[in-house]
Amino acid sequence: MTILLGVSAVNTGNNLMYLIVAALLGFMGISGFFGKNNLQKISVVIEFPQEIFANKDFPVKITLKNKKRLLPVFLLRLHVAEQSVLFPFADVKSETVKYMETAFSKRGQHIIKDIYISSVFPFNFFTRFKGLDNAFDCVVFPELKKCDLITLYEKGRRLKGEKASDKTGFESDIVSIREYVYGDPLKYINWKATAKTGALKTKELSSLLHQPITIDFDKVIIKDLEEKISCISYSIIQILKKNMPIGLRINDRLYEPGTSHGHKINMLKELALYQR
Amino acid sequence: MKRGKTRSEERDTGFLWMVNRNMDQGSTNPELRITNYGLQIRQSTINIETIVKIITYMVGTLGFMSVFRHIDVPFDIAFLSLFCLSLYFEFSKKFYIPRWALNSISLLVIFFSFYRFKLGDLVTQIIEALLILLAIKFLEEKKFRDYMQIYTIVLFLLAGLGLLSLDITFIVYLLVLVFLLATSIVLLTYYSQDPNSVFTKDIVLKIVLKSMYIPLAAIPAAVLMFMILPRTQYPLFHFLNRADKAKTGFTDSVRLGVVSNIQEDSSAILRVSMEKIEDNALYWRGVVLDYFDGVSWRSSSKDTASMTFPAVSKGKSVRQVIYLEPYENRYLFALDKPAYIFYRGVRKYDDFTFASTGYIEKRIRYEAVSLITDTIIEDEVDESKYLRIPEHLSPEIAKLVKQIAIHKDDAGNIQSVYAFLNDGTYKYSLKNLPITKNPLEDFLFLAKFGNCEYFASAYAIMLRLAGIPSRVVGGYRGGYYNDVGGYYLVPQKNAHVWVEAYIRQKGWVRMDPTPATLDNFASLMKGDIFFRMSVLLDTINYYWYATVINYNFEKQLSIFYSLKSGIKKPGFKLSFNRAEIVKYLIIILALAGIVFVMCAAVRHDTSKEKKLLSSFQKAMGKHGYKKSKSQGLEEFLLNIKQDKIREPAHRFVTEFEKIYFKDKEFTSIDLVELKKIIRQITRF
Repeated sequence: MTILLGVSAVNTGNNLMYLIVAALLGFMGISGFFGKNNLQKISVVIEFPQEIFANKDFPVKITLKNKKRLLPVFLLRLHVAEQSVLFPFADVKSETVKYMETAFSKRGQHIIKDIYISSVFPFNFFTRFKGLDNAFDCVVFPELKKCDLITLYEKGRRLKGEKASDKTGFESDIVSIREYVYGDPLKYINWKATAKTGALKTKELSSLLHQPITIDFDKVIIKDLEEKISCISYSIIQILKKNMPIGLRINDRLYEPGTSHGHKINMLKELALYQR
Repeated sequence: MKRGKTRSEERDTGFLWMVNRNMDQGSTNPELRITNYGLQIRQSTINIETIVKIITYMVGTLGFMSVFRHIDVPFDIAFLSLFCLSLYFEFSKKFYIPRWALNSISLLVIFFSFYRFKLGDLVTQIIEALLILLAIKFLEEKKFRDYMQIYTIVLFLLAGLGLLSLDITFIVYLLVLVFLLATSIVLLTYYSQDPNSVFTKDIVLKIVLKSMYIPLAAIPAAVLMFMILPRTQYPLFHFLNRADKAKTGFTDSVRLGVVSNIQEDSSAILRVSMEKIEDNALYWRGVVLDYFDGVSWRSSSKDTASMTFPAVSKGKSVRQVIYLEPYENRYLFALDKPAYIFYRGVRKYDDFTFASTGYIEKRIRYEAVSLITDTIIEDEVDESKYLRIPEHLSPEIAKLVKQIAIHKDDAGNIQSVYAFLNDGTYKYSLKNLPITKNPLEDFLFLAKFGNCEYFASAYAIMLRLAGIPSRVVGGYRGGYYNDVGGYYLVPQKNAHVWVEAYIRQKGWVRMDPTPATLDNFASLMKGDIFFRMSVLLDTINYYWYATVINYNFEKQLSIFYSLKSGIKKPGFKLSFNRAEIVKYLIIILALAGIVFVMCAAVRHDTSKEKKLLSSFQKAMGKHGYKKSKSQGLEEFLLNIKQDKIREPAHRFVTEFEKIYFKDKEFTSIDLVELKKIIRQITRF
């Protein structure tokens, strides 16, 4: 249309036609500038949850930072792998957060690069693309598959019984006697010592612990490696749910039995990266 | 990554984006729910499409407004009725006529316009057809493409307006359209990305306001484009440019006794950019009339003259740039006595008049050089031509002249006849002019009043009867000097005729027998504030013509050359007058001051309590107590170890919270009290 009007402007010598053509051309040039500017001074941060299991949906947090002072970000589409998220509007100097639900099919370390942003702003005539240099990585834990391994260890545990730990608790033997502190349950007052000393005394008991279990990776007889890893991971999660200490021997390395969250993550990471 | 879906949450931007496509997202839905997070936000929202529709109807109205005066009334009515119908369907019925039906009607419209095709008025016909197509387009259910088509049609309508009229209103329409289109297309882009998009009012406002930057930035780009776009001196389709309609006022013949009342037309005929000169020299020479048949004056055949410097060498020379409005003749006006006129194909005649090759059908610009003098030196004239008396002239007039022209010399007789007409007996009037077959006789002996045509005719004929060659000169008298634009505005109603009498061995001397000529043309209006305002407003018009309409290939070239020479000479000096610099500096400083005061006022207005708090924190900071962002005020107080400081700080916080948390306004007394405490803290 601009060309058509341009031709008629030249051929009529009419300055008002020139004005329209000039306005349209000015518009085009400026829209190019605005389109380009729209994709600039933007940073994207992708955050994954701590525990990602293969073949299970999880939310990815995408934070878009608009570092521009004057112009907001309009209609920005972020492409990650085969998916995209639309950020319709991000104000100046602000962060906008969106969540994208996704899943990985394989365990191991995943590096997400090839992230790019695109926008049709301002006039939907062209789509502009811009690649981002950022790369984000995450470790995908093995897929959890239900298996019987856990019952095997349960049996062994029952045979061994429970053991007392050196931590204070309420279940096992007396560890010490101390001064009564307001709020101690009545049943823990050691009446004997109270009578002897004339001041209220409280028993301190140790806590009971489950017998620790250690899974030896090589001794688990499941032919398919992936099945085996999945099964072990499932067992670890299940056992930890019962607050039983669990350890893992893998790659000539021993993870001493424990119940902490960090311990769980370490073991699952080891399994995730096994032979990868 | 393989499958997935997206969801969103609201974050500090206040942004809401609908993801659940199954939700009812009609424009009436005032509530928005983001299901994933169980978040319920009550905020009034707007559907993007509704805004696009509203803007599109505004664009349509603008397109119609721009051209409705230039097309036939039936088309105006047809457009308006279809437009109203589509408004009714769109906003109250949500009903759209099927596309195939509308397309067939559109085809019929196109065939119909081919049927009435006439080359002479091509532009108007195209505009009429486009306007109907536009109205039909509005009846459709609109998709992205349809909206764009509507905008295109409106742009073409505006282009058509540009061909029909060169009026300054064009730029107003164009500017409004540019802003509307920018907003609308940005919103349309949103719409195309997600037709169900719904935003809060805040966000829509932000999108609209921020997208205004585009047209704002496009304006300077457009100005640059306008200056550098290729131009040609020989346009092919020049015929498409329809001239502005010619105005009445000046004619190349003076006819007496035909019109009884003369309507004053105050529209402009000339704008002359030049220095200000004395009012009594303001005679704009147009045409010289030498043949009188008893009723009307006309111009007999005359010779063209060479453009060499004329015989009138005395007098101040004045250079003028003249913008002449279209009128029904080909004479070019310039200050009396014009020596040169620079215009393509201009012809100069031996009576110091200039004419273009054709009628002045559009507004033109030319330059002229004139010499301010009353006399044209001419040794010899064709006396038979300038002494010719109409055959049936009343003998009474000849008798009268005999009584008056009693001097022996021409100069004396010229003066005595002039004095006769100016002794107060004859009055100037534009009303009740005699309608008669013997206008001169009736004027001189019966009515004794008339306009400049009567006075000039009577004077010229009386001079001829006294044996003095004379002629009538037609043009304009006076004008209003616009100090802002530096030009004279000469309205149509200032059309005037005067007389040139030939004094042997001297030349042609200008005589204006009309009594109090200048008063008739200038001072009458001097006190009128509305008139002054309109003269001032005309400045805009003047610049519009001078810079936009008359911008052409030559000007383009001259800009390029001046730029080139400017670049070549790095040491070139800009000559500025010191007073001028000071003037501009004062203006800039004043503006900066206003902006500063406004900013300060705004800041002051928004953050009374914030200011107070920050000065409190500053005072506390001096003693080493820094409040972290997450800390509450009372929590902050707990950290203070020195009793001396804790006491006033506690007092401040209690007083502050008493007002702040009860949503009360901080009165000036409160502020004074709180500031006192802060000062106390600082002093320790």
